[in-house]
Amino acid sequence: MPENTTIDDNTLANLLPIYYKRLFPIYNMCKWLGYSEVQRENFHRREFSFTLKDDIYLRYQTFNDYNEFEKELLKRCPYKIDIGGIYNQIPKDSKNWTHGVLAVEERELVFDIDMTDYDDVRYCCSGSGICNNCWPLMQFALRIIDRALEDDFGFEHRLWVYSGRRGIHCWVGDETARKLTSQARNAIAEYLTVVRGGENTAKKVNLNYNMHPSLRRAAKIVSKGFEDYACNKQNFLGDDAKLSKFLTLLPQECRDEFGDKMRVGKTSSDRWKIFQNHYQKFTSKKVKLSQNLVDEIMFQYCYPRLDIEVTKGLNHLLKSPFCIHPKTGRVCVPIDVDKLESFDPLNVPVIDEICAQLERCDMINLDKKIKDYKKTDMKSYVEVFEKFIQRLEKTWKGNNLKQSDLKGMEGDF
Amino acid sequence: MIIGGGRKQESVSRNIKREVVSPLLMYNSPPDGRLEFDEFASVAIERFSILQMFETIGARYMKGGNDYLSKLDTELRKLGFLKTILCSSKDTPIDEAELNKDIVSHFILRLAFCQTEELKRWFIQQECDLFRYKLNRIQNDQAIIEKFLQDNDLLYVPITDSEKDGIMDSLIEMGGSPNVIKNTHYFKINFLEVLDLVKTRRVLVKKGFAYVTIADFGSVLTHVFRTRLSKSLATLSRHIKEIEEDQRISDLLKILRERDIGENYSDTTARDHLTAESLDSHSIKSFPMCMRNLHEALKSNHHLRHYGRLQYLLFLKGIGLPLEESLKFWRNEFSKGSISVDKFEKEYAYNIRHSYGKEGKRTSYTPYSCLKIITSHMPGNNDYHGCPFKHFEREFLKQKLKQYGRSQDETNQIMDHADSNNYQIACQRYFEFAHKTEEIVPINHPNQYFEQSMRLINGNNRPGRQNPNQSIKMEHIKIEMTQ
Repeated sequence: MPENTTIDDNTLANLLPIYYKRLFPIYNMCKWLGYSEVQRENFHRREFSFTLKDDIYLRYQTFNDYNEFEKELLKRCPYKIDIGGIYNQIPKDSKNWTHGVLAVEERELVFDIDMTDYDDVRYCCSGSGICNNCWPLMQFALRIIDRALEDDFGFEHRLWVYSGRRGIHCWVGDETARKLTSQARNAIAEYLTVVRGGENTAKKVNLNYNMHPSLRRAAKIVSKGFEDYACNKQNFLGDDAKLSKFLTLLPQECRDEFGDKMRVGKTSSDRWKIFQNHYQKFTSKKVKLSQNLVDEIMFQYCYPRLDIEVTKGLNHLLKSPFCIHPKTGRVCVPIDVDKLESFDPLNVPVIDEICAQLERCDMINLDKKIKDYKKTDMKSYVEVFEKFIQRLEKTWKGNNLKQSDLKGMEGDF
Repeated sequence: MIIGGGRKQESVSRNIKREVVSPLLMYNSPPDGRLEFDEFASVAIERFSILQMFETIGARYMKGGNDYLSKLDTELRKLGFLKTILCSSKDTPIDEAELNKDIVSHFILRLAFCQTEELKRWFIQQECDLFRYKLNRIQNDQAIIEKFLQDNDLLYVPITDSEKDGIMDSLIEMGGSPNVIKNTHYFKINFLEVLDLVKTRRVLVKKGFAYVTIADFGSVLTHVFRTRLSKSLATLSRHIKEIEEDQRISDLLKILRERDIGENYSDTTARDHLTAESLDSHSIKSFPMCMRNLHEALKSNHHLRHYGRLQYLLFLKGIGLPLEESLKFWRNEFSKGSISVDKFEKEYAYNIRHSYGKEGKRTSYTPYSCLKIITSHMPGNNDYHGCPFKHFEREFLKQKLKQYGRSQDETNQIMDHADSNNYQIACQRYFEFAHKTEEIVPINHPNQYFEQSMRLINGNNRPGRQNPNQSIKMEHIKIEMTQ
């Protein structure tokens, strides 16, 4: 198991001021979260929360504009920044709530996928550990959900972010997505949920005879990478314990039969092939095997496991992109979906490294006009973020045009 | 809509023009016509108990499941309200008078439940469940659905054949046969309007649109129903002040709204002053079972444990037993047992005065509502408090019912409700049998039980405080229509 990077508190405390001042994309963050150039319209009612040293936790922070946000950020240098929704009024002014009860008006549709939810089906790491052998789980999840969001729900603005440690987040910024009710978010999350049941359920995936097109698409995505992931990386049938765990997914009556056949194979790959062949041929009067058993098994090992509460709740906070993960020191960087295969979570920028890169550049006195982040490994990641914002920008530029057109017309009459 | 005003006793049915023929109602406009206050109140209360039942059964069974539906069917048959709409088989025609009752009662409850977000949410939820139940009963009857769409200006155009060809593969994947698909109309609807179908992946979703057939229209319609209802309630709530100017209406609305919390009965000043001596006879005639049980336990044991004392003491306070009488009553009973007058004064009298607000922080304590009695403080050994319909053992409850004079048949009916966890409805039935009344009195507070009982016994046979000979004009419901 590769060592997961760690960073000590002191180093972090020393580096954060530099990071926020020179590398954290403050301007773009504000532009994104305000959904406008002007920022004031939405931005000032957006909740942020800061986690400071010694777990001091400040909720309901709001900032008038970019300048105030930058000032506070540099003053506080939070260990962690969480982003909440846009409220109907400023939460801090609790005394003058003039618009009734405090409520979230808008919120990106978000997804949180955490590797710990897969602990029963990954054999390389557990808990907060991740490695290249289990990372494919996140790739499956990202591909499957990203496709569903785009093809099924028509959401165009999706930002995928590595959380810095053991999971990934997705932010959907389409206007319709931001305005979804909690019920609608729940429905979407349920639509994307297939693995159900807790510790006491062995077989957690049961599909209808007719698989829904979105699941069929997911099955294609999974089956493409399943062999490499499950057999080569996880060796998921490699020993007796793993095999008997696998067999619990079958009806009691035929476990021995399948088990005996599969044990003949030497490798996971052999055993998986034997299973599939035998399943094709299998007939029995006593048990009926599910028509989609192979897909069900692959899904149990690989289908995305969402933290549904995060998606459902409008007032759930989610860690901000470009935050530094306080334990690993890694930057929560956006993931370029087009280059997902080459994204290596163990190789993302780490705060001490990028700060060192910056320092080296300062010494050799590189062209002053070059923005700081471009001098570091942050460059490609900030570019992914910028691309996301540029596409979003078109939506509100379009809106602004429409509005100014309307105003122009009013003037004409 | 005008309710009342006429001198003749006429029923809803003949007086109010019907809106649509199908049992599916969108309640777009309030009915015209006149309605006696009596009927006004009774249909409102009847609908309310139906909605309460939807809530109870919905909480216990999976909504839409077989158990849920058959349970609802049984209970609705028992209640009998809107029977031909909700219970009859497909062949028996719907009684048009009931359609009017359906409309009228719906609109009255709108008034009662438009005031706070919580009430609104409750009302919308139950009404949507009721609507869905109706949908379920018509079994996707295409004619009814199409009529409903027409009546409500809901226009859905099926997708063209070429559009259908584009999604053909996906539709086949979902289990349709090509021939059937070719001959079926598909409608393209924003996925937000059919969330329940999306949630369970029962519908094809592409680029934010769901492709549904007429068979899936139940979800579409429920969504539209919910949206329109919640909009109407929002409008209505801004006018509730005008409506509440009519004392009788506002009294009724108050009764309806206080479904769980109940009137708090903590103010005793307006009530009759009872004497300690009268409690024996009241307990037999007018106490709900929970209190009669406590009374008898106190009488035979000369003691009650903490929660029993509290439940009974506050009830007595609520029905109008003054502090002095209460002290006398408890002292008397306790002293017959092992507790000396001296000990009583030291250990119990303070608490009694305290609960009347005469000691300590001087807040007058509120008598317990059914909800509180049912949900808190599970009785243990030697306890007599709680709700008999919930907390008594089955056999013991049967025995008690018999002992209190209920016939075998009555007992069975009450037991049925208790067995299906409808404790308050069981109590309501008990009330009806005990008072030999047909009137439906939803019970949500022991003190309310007592008051209703006194009202019936003393011959004032109307709920609320209105003048019986005066019917009312109520044009304000029109507000909603004209907004």
